[in-house]
Amino acid sequence: MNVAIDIHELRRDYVIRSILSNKIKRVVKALNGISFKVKKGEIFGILGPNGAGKTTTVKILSTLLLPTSGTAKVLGYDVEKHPIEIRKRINLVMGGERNLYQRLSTLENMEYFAELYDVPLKIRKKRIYDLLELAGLQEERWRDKVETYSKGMKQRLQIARGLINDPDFLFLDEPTIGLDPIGARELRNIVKKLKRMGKTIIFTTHYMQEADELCDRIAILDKGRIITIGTPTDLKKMHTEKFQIELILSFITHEHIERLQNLKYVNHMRTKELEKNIHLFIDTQACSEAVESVFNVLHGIPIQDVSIKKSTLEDVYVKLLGGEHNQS
Amino acid sequence: MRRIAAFLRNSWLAFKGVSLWLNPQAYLTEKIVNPMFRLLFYAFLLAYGYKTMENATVYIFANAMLLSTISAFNGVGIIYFSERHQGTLIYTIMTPKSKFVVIFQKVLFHILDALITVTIGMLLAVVIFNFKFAGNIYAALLLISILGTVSVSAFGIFVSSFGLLTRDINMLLSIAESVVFLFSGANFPIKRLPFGLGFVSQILPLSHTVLAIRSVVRGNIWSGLKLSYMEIVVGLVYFVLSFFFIRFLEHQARVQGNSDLY
Repeated sequence: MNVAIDIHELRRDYVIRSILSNKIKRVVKALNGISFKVKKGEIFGILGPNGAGKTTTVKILSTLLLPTSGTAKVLGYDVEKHPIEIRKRINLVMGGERNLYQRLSTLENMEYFAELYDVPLKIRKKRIYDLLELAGLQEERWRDKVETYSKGMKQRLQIARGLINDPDFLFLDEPTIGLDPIGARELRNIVKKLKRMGKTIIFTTHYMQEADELCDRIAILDKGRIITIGTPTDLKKMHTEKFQIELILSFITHEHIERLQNLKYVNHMRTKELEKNIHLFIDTQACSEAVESVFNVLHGIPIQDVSIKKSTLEDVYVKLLGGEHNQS
Repeated sequence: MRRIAAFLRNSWLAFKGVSLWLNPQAYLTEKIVNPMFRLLFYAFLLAYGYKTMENATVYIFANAMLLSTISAFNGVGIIYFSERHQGTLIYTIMTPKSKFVVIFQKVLFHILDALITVTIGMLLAVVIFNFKFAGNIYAALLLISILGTVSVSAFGIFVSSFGLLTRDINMLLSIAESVVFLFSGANFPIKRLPFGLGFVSQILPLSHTVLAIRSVVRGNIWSGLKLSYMEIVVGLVYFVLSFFFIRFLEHQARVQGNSDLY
């Protein structure tokens, strides 16, 4: 495997001290011994609730934070020993409206960072123009101050800024946070373009559909540990049934429920009474076979509605992180 | 040549990116009206205290020099604070470029800005109090002002570097500014300080510049310029100290992980 990132038993503690006595009040374990590898050219998603350790992981890999123990290598360089080598080859884009010089224009922001990364003068102007076009920023706004931009435009500019040094590796930390649906979709299209350009990307998000659409592999973190890791398809196979059939009935008897539970293709079933109707939820791996046999059992009972839903990454997330349990 | 132009262009952008007052109204208020009233306050106080304007002349020019602290602490001093506030500090840390070059780029236009303020202050003093000097005295005062401004800006960088570690930099800047005011000797002779505290003024910026101004205004141009050499030493020491301190604090910021707090 052509490895871009290699993390082994990575731990990071935050020590909270008393202001007056400087005594340790408590130690927060932000990362609790995580290990994973990312292949070159891959979009690797990191998901998890707030405080799970996503941003801490990104900060360590982008050389902004030192680990407490364990090792982290980016493109073969150790984050502790060779930060400068890593910095030449990476860049970071954070979500939100900050992280840019608000009083400078788009072109000025790009120029400033191009100089910071020593982009050769010969190609500097062309690269800036190409990146702004790639990010879809309208040319007539390039000379306007960033403070006059919408959130979506600022986020596009951040992407362009993040590519100024032509990085091999890009960290995108919740880049679509707060964007409207069209803005978020456009940004996802930019990320897909970046993948086609051969960039390796670490992507953190709270939006499951986005992760499902973009990521080649995903790690789900909770309390500083990796709960699961794999491709979106594998995760759905591993942790949920493939389909969920929902039927709305006027009534159902215990005998029917027993018969349904014993059907070959029904893996799991639950009922819920809602607005004088019975909602029947059936999880199955074989959709058409399950529908046929369920309809046979329910012969004679009026069925008001039927819907079939494919399992989503959100189902995996909720199942693994206990949301389903919390809701009941 | 193109590299120098690119360097200067980036210095300008670094300055523009963190400066709050880059419009005519704000500039007039912050850089002309405020320094003017500050200078006038000290000038009339000193004229009253020293009985005659002749005795107060030296101190009025020294106070014009002290106007450089406005840029040194409110400009250079808050560089990292401003970066932190805008969320760009992490990108300043992440750049592979030499931190020496980055810092130099960031302060260059603040130094020029301070020099403009000092010049305006001295011109105001000349016009308002009708001072008349020979041309070579003005030239010597300009040279001394440049050296003093660079020195106090280097001190500003030193204090500013704490902004890498904490967002509460303003308290530190206020103390630093008061200390420079007290020990500069701009308003009373350093030898009047109790407990031999005069030594402290030797290691702080502007005290040598104030002595040099005093000498030049009294007509001793060469001895004044010689006194300025010490200001160069003090400025250099703070600049070198800042460079290593910034590297150390940047490492500490990576240990503590607080570079994105604002």
